[in-house]
Amino acid sequence: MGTPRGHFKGFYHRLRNPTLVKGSFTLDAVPATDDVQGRGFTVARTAAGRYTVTFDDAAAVLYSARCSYQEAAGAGAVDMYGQTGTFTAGAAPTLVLRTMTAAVETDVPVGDRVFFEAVLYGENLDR
Amino acid sequence: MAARNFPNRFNSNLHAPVEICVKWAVGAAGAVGAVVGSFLDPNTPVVRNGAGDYTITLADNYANIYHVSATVNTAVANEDLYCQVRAYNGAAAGGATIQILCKAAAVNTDPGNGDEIMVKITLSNSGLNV
Repeated sequence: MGTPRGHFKGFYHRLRNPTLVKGSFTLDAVPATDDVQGRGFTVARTAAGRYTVTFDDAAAVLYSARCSYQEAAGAGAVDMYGQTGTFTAGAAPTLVLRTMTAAVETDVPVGDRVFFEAVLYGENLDR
Repeated sequence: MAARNFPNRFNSNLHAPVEICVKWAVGAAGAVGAVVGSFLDPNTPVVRNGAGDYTITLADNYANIYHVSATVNTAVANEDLYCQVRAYNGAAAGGATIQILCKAAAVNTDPGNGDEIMVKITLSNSGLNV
């Protein structure tokens, strides 16, 4: 690779002022989201296997997103994977996450974890 | 690569996040082949524990984990396979460990010979994130 040659650490790119939001959560026995980790968002269970992330600040564009499932508590035999759903831009933008078994939205077992990340444009971090 | 000028960085509201990317080639019977990545255990960065079951060992310990995602880069077009995150131990002796499973439905399954597993992990040691 030609330039840059400064070997600076970190990820560089050509997008304009994007924000990378990452976080994770579990479900409790209710079931409701629990043990939320990360900053700049809230998350709530809105249906079986469906969770809505609401970002703290405005965003106009979702460049990319990922969702993954961690089987932290079971015996390693859960058939489940993470999926991202609808993004709604605005002053309080939202992103739907899903945990799926085959083609069916399914709650993560208690104690297991959902990870997500989203690259947003327009989120104001000047707080 | 036509344009090599990437002047911008991602904003983040996490304190001192670290992102580690690692991938490894899969050989016959799920064997770990060449491993590509930095800040991994220099001796055994990736170990196969059993069918479709791998453990990544990092070079350091971390207090917080924010994101893990894994995907299989398949050498053929007809593999029914997905990756799942399993156990994480940020304080493991010798470096943080993260277990990745490759599954067909609910069954741990070795990826095909020639496949690659790609993993991205976001961590931090800052106490300000909690």
